Amino acid sequence: MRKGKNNRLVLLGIALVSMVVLLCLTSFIYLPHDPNNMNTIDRLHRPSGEYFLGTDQFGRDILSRIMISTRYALLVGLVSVAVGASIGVVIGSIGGIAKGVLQSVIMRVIDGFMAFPGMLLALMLVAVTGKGLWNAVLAIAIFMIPTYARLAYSLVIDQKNELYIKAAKSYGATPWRIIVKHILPSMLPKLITQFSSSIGGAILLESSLSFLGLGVQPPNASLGLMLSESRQFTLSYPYLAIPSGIVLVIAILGFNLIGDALNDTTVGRRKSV
Amino acid sequence: MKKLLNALSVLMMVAILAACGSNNGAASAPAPTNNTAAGGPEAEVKAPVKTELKMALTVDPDGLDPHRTTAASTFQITNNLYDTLVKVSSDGEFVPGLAEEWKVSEDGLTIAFKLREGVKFHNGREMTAEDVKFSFERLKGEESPRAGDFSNIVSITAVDNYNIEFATKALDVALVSQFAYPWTAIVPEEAVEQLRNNPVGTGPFKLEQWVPQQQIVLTRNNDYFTPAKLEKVGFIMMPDATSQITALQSGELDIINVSGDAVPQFESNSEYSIIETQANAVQVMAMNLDNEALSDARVRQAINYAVDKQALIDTVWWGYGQEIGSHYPPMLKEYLDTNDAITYDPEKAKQLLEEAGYAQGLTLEMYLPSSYPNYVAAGQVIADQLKKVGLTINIHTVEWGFWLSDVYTGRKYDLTVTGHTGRLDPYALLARYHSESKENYMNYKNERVDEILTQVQQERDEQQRLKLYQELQQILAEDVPALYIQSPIGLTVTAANVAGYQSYPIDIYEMKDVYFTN
Repeated sequence: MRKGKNNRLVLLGIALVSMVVLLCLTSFIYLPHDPNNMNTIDRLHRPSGEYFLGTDQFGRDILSRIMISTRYALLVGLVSVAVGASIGVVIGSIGGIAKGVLQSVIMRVIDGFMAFPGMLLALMLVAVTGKGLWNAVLAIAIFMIPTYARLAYSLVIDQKNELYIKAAKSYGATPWRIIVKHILPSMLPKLITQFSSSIGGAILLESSLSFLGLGVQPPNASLGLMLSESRQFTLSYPYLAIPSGIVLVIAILGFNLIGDALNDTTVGRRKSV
Repeated sequence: MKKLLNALSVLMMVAILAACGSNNGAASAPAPTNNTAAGGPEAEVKAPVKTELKMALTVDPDGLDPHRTTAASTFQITNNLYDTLVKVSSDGEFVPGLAEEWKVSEDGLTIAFKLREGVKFHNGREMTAEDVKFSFERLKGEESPRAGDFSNIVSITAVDNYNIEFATKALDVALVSQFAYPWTAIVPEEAVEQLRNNPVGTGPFKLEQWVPQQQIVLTRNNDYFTPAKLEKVGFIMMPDATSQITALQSGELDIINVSGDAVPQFESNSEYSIIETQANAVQVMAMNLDNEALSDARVRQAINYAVDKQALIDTVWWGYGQEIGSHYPPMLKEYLDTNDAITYDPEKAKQLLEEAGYAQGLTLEMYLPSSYPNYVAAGQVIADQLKKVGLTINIHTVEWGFWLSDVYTGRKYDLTVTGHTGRLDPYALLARYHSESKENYMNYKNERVDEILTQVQQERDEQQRLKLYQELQQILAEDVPALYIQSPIGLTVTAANVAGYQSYPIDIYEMKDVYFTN
């Protein structure tokens, strides 16, 4: 029963993510209109044959803008999490192997980072690095580091005392070799699980930053920026916020569902309900 | 179950994101008090007319001490708490305030005021010429951000309790206007330490309560010489336009300012009235002449030729604005129509860029203040139109604080969209174009402009002054240190039973004459 439900959810997750990926890939081949081209005569159009999802207050095609936005969303999601995860795993592994003061220093610094609310940390980093897409990527990557460092740290500590590691040690393997050949492969399933869930979070964070005007800069399109721009018209043109909102929900929900399902299969923790 | 929760939480986050900022800033309202003599045995008023009005504010005032800030958000309110010697009527005439009459000397260097007798501060003490003297000395003091504006006043003499004279160093033909700005409010010496939070003035209202970021409540000053009709005025802090509109519709607010897109909702509804006012202000895209390309007048002209102003006004301001060709609002009498100097012509723009050596294109950095969504939108439309003549514009939206420090004061930008509120005197409006002005953030330098600005201050003949001001407008329209966009039309929506609300050539919300009809 549980298995079946799980499968259905992972399929739903994959389906949702595929929709977003499809939108993104299509944008490289075909865009209905130039996403940044303003056609002020045609502004605030309802959905029609010409403008499938209508136009915004500058007469820009909403569908084209959403398609371009998915590029940024996926780019930020994948790149920032990949960068953050790699650095985090390295730091965490060093923390796990190191002893004494070094271990404490590394892990306390990581703990310190974790104590910050995510959005606050990202805002602070953007304030330091400046605005724009790549700075947002950097900020989100840094935001991701502590999670992965903690995870890698606990996994390394966990594995360090396993018999096969001790055996490798007694053969005279270097700590580096032990990590790369033995510990890292054992960590992979859990890392992949975390990776998938993080992407959803990263996309949401990017949207939040863009919503606040700190991420993707106008006139370029980002889901968060589109939501922010439509906010002014919530009463007169409530329809404007819906398409970008839905795509954002689809993207985040999809990645989270996949992450959750992977978590259940790899960790198998959730036995209840 | 857990997954459902997760899914829900994602939905929630998106919803929160979409709703962010639309907080409902209104605090629970105390019941309106219609019985004037509280606890008195008076009979019930037959048809109780509302006497408590609420208006929305988008920005909290920067303290209520008129001598220690330059924030427009402060002066929008302080005229209700304090009085100035001279007041401005809604059609721009100077009318008596605390001064009953004034007289400028033959040589134009001194001005004498006769004060109204029996005016009392909120603390009960009578206001005299000594208070006027003290207030202007405080305004000229070191801690005053406006000290520079009043450096021309060299001596202040209180002749007796109700007569006071100001002597100036250089001739200032518009001297009387200097006494009408809301920052020249008269304050009592004994209360100045606390003025920022506990204002004491002579105005028609007293401060009852100020909860920062929430509301400011004023109650009527019953000792005022022409008492206000309202008993209470609440200024409710509500930064989000959408929340303001819903609050007006639910009756929580009585007056709000709106942007053009909201007009259709109220236009054909008899429960509301819309007040349109030609604002004493100009909105421009300033260009920094420190940039090598922009120092070339041909490039600046090309930028002006490339932008379709009417389309810009229609898109961003929903048509509520009047096109301008120079730095001058059409509502002022010195206005010269310069719209024909440069008209929309993208071909001409390309040709000028080619002549200037930028046929292959040019990249400029544009900074837009994020707290003004209209300026951000205008910047985007302009950038889009400039793209069509081969200019690449990189847009940076920045915080208001950053804009003030780095763009306006620091002059580190190529292009920026902003607005300038008008003054009561053309000189004050145009003085920023003097090459040595501290406010000349465009780094504009034109010898003839400097000459005019120096000359006009000394010119006592009104016709001559008018000619000089118009020449200056013409120069700006042709030399274009900025793209002059429009003079905005202000839109205020009130509940239909609100009467007497007027707008003024200075940015103030005057509540003294407002009342409810029922």
